[in-house]
Amino acid sequence: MNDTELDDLFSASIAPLPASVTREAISLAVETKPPRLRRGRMPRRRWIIPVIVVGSLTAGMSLSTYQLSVWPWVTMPEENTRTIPIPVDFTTDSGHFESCRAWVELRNWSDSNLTALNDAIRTTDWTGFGQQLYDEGATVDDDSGGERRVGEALTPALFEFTKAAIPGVVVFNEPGEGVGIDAVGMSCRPDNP
Amino acid sequence: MSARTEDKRSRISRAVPEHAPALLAYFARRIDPSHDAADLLAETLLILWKRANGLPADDDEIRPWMFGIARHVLLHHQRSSARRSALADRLRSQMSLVERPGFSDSSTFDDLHDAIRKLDQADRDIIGLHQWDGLSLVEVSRVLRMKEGTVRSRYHRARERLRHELAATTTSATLAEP
Repeated sequence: MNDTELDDLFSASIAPLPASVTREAISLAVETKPPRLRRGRMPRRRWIIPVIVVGSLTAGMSLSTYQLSVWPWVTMPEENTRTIPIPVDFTTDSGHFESCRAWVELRNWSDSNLTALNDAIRTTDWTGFGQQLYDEGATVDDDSGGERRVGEALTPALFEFTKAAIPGVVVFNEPGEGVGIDAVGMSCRPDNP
Repeated sequence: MSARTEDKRSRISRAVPEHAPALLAYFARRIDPSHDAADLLAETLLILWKRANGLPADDDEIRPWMFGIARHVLLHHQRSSARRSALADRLRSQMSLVERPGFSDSSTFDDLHDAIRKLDQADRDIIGLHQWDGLSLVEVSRVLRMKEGTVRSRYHRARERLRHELAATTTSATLAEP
């Protein structure tokens, strides 16, 4: 195979995204533009604080350091807020232990919504929660650590939990102007070498 | 607002929607399931808007700047973090309707994909960014924060390996024919 043939193979191997997907990606870009920029102002400059990257954690770091560093890199719309972390620990069938923290992100929230949800998180005994998600979750290919398996099961579980704590909360793009779940997420402690 | 700030605001406002489809294709070609690309794009867009003040002054630097941020989002995603965002709901649904978005019929190119998988991560990044995402090797070096010369030499070595691998595959396929 010569260089030209290799280039031809590369060119032929890719295809453009469908026009509908491209349009949706552009719409998403426009929709995510922050209100401040829409009003013709640049984002506020922020103090730069030292952030510990999750992937750089070592076995010697304390749990509090780990908790502080769980999701500084995950951004969210300025008007949203996140709950306190929910512990999601589990051991896979092969004996691999994973320690993760999950959260719920709310839009159109009020202090009472957030307090209700955080209080519910705080007063719930989460022992065995992650293990139950793992045990009952469907197997996912290429997921030796089990994070994706647990992540799939986590989303509906957090929806139900939030609905119980905040009656009337809407989920993702369900219609409704009130408080809504805008995202859920989970970060896992990186494996130690 | 100063003219400089206004200029930056209008440049970022143009650049983010303009490059969003390319960033989506970047994610779609690198993660499985590919509809997760919608969430990674949403994540990247939020970061790009938030970092508007850091937009490079030189227009030629904008694309590598954006792909560099996208690459970090991808790396973090691969470090076992997950996030599903309502922002990406519609796009995620659309992506799930497309089989292997961003790629041609996969079975035809299995050998190529297999050969690429045999490269180490840095070489895969270089080949992918250049051949699939259309970045120049100079832009690739900015995204990966590698020296231009290093990227060029790795690129040529990686191509050589791919040619070798693909030639071997073709030969064995030909030998196996009745």
